[in-house]
This record gives sequence, structure tokens and C-alpha cells, in this order.
Amino acid sequence: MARAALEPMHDEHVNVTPLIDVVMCLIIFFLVCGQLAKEQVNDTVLIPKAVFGTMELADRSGELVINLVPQDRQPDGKINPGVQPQVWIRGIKLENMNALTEFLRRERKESSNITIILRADQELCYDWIAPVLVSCAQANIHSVNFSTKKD
Amino acid sequence: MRNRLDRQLRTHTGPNMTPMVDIVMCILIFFMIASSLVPEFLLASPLLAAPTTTDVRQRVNVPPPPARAEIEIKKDGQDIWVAAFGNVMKMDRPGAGANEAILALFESKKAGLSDDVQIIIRPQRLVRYQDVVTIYDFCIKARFRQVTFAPAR
Repeated sequence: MARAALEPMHDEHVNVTPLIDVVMCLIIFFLVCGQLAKEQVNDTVLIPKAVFGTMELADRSGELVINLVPQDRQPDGKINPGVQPQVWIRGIKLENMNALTEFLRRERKESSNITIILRADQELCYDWIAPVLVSCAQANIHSVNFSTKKD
Repeated sequence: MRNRLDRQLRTHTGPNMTPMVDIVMCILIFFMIASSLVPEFLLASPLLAAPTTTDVRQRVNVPPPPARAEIEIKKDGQDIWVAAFGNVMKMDRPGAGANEAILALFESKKAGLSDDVQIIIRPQRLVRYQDVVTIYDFCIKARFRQVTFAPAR
């Protein structure tokens, strides 16, 4: 008795399974990266504008983002210059500048290759910026970059 | 002939993946665009804090430079003044073409200075960070090689 051979399934359809696999992997990748980036970057900081900033950062390993977040922004965007901003690193809020120095020293002990990216609000006064620079210097970290937006 | 007709009339019995692929593609495009929005640029600072007082210099272990030139940024009421190379100029509000005179001064002075000269940006305590970045930005544009920041005073 002769049996008809089974015909291949979906012989007239495009097999989309690999496409879905790849797209799902990409979505998971972007979700994870977005979450990691969110921990590093604080959305409430209005970073200053600059014209000649470069986006080049040859080696992003050892990158440490310091966020200086103003505490009491007025509706018109102004902030009280006398109020100390919050210091956030990797989603952790530090108590004060002394804690920042200690934090940076610990990081420096663990890795000799640290690049600081300072994300400070454009309305902050220099009185709050200078201590961060001094803390970096005290921790023997000499690579500091100011995060800016294109003007 | 009959086999060919059967193949043409056969319906696809599996789940219809088209809506899912559409939605997944939309989500993918959303994440790709959202991740690339509002890029941040970096102003690299080659050296930190140029302390003038001995105690601070010892703490941060910074050797004194061979030659220095200072750029002071002062706040007077709502106005910001820049004192550099014997000139005092008022900073404009941010905008297209603002502060071109300051940039022109920096570029003209750079032509007469060697790369060994350390430029110290010395802002007053209450000067906005945006104004400090603007002056530092101009220093980069003027190709000053050693630009540092003095502690607030």
C-alpha cells in the first residue's frame, strides 16, 4: 500500500521564529541597559549647555557618574543657592561631601582607572561644584568630565 | 493538478504571529529611539582644582605650575563679569552668538601664549555652574592646554 509522503509544513510561509527570537533578545537588552543607565543618570538634573563639548570617551570602563541634584527647584526653574544639593552615585544617595571623598577613595583603591562624569544642575552655584572637584583630587582621580548638552 | 489545488486552498492552522511581530517591532523601535534621545556631551577636564593656598595644595598633592593666567568669574547682582588678561567683560545671556567677544579675547591671547601656561578659572562662590561651563567651553575652543579650576572663595 502506497503512502503519500508528508508535505513540509509552512511551505508557503516565511518562518518568523528566528526573527522573533532576535527581536526579543534586543528588547531584553535595551530594557536591561535602560535600567542600568537609569541608575547612573538622574533625570531631574538639568545639565548645562556647551558648544564645544565632545562625545568621545575612548574607554568607558571605570566610568563613574556623580549626580548633583538640587533639592528645592522653584516652578520658574530657579533653585535656592544656599541649599546643599544631593549627591547620587549609582543610585546611592551620599550624605555629604565627606562621604563622597570616602566613596571615591574606596573606588580608587579597587580600580586605578576611574573616569568621573559630573552631572551637575546648571543652576547650582560653584560653591557646590568645587568640593566635588576637590574630593576627586583628594582621591587621586584626575580624569573628570563635565556632562553637557549641545547648545 | 488536484495536488496543486489542494496546496493553494490549504489554510494555515497555526497561531497568527503577525500582530505580535507588529507590536514587538514597535516596542523595539521605541526603545532604540528612546535610548538615543538627548545625547550628553562631555567636557574633559585635564586637571582638577588649582589650589592657591598651601594647605589645600598639600592635601590634593598638586605641584605648582610654571606659569599661570587667571580667569575670574564674578557675580554682581544678576550680572556676571569675566576678568581675564587685563580685560573685564560682562557675560551675555545664553543664546546664539552670545559672548563672542569673550571667545575672541581668549583666542587672540592664546596665540601669544605657550602651552605651558596654566589657565586657572576662578569663579566666585555664587556663580552659576552654567556660566562656569560656558567659560571652560571657550577655553577649550581657544585651545588652552592646561585649564584648571580654583576652589570656591
